[in-house]
Amino acid sequence: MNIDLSQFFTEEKLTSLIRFAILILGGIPLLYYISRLIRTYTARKFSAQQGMIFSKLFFYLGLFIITFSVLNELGFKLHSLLGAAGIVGIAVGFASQTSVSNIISGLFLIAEQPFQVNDVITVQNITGVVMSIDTLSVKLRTFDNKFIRIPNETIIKSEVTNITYFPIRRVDMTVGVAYKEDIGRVRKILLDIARNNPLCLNEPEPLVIFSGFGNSSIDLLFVAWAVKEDWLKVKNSLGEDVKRRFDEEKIEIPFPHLSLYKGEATAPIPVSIVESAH
Amino acid sequence: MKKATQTMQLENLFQPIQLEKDICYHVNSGQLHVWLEQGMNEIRLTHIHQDNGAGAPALPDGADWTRWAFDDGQSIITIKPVFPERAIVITPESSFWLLKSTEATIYIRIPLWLRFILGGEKGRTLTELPTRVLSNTWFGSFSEGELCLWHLSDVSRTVDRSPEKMHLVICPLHLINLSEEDLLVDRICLRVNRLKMYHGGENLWSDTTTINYKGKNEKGEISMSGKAPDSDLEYTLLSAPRHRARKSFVAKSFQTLKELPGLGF
Repeated sequence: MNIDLSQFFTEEKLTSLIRFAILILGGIPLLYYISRLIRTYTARKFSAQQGMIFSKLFFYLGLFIITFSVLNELGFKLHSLLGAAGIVGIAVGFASQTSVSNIISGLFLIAEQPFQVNDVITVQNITGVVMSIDTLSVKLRTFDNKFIRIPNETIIKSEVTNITYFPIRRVDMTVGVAYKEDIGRVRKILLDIARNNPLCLNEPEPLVIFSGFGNSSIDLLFVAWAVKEDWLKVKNSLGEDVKRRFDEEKIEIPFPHLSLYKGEATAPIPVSIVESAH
Repeated sequence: MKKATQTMQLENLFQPIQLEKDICYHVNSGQLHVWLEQGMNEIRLTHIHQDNGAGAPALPDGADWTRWAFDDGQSIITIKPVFPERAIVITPESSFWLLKSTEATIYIRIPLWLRFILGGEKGRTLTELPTRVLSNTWFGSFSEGELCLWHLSDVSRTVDRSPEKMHLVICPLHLINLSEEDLLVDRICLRVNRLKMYHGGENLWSDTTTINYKGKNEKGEISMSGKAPDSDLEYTLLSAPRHRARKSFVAKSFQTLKELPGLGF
């Protein structure tokens, strides 16, 4: 059988093939490149969240145009494609309910903006930094550097805590002091500690709130404020400052004592008190 | 080999300093003590904040030096007094009332920052250090606002020109109460990054800030005079504003978080 290649590779088909190659080999990398540029530029000019939205919009729009141009080059007619898409759409729709739900949930997340890229959120006991809000899922990086993918639908249905939504955060610390201590003096010292910590905000004012009479201590709630970026530093430094200052001021931080009994169930170990040498 | 230390006071610092290789320079202003020395194509700097009550401190053992390397053997340092980048919330040592439809000029002293510049005045900024460590405070609401520095200051109606307070810039502030209520001045947010700094007499000065108070929930008009205060002194401009100021702008200057709901839990 003689195959005449010249009949197959007509000038028209060759031109079409070259256009197809240019669209695939040139168009898609170019789309990636420009969408990255848009992301970098917008993130720098506005915010990381807007960078992500604009680059994705551009990418998906470009992909849609390239796909239809390629199909057109291959000789598919757009109106027949759309007709077929209707029938296929019903079949695919049944099979992809979850995906569609995730896509719609993703749109709600972008519109409602309960969090943005680079925020720290907690969803179902998972806490991490939002890396991206994508079509189907939200990607988180946890603080121990794990990658977590949470479907958008799950996020819409769950309680989400955005830890970094507001610019300032409160540092709470429960401080227990011995019953013999003067609460007024302890309060003054704690407020002084907060005032002398340069990262602690003077306003909102730090507070010392009486918490209750504990088993072995008077419990006080010591609260101070910091900007969200300094929250961890303030939490750590306040704890160290309280311990150091209480040691200096001879304020006792009591801790639970455990008595051990040996032998008979009711008879304690005999203890004799030796008088102090001082 | 231990280098000889040469101590310099603030008033000697407004000219570029040629660093010698075998000298460690000690710069003091307020609570700030800086040691500067030149090494092989590098400049080293370390600092502490300490009151001068017990005399000038010695260079701490095992000091944590910050080093800047360069390739052209540059050894000139310019130290320039500047205002901090952030606004300062001033809390008067004793608050006062400004009656409605009245105005008053007050003087506040603000700690200055020192900018260390490699080369002349237009050289590269190495670092900026405060002559006193000020703590942070928040000016605004819980959901939005600005991070400011907090400073407890005596607020006087007359100028105290004592030269030993040269690390504190005298800022004249003209308050006008245009509202229908008396204004309790227990904090003032001063946008120091829009102020110029002058040297006059034996003190540092800023241009005058005028704040028009229009009511609790209103933003007031703030303007900077852009010129040295009126007096018999001769002034030299030391630093331009960090932010090129428009003639005036509107912002809140007296807001307090105590007025916001939710603080009492």
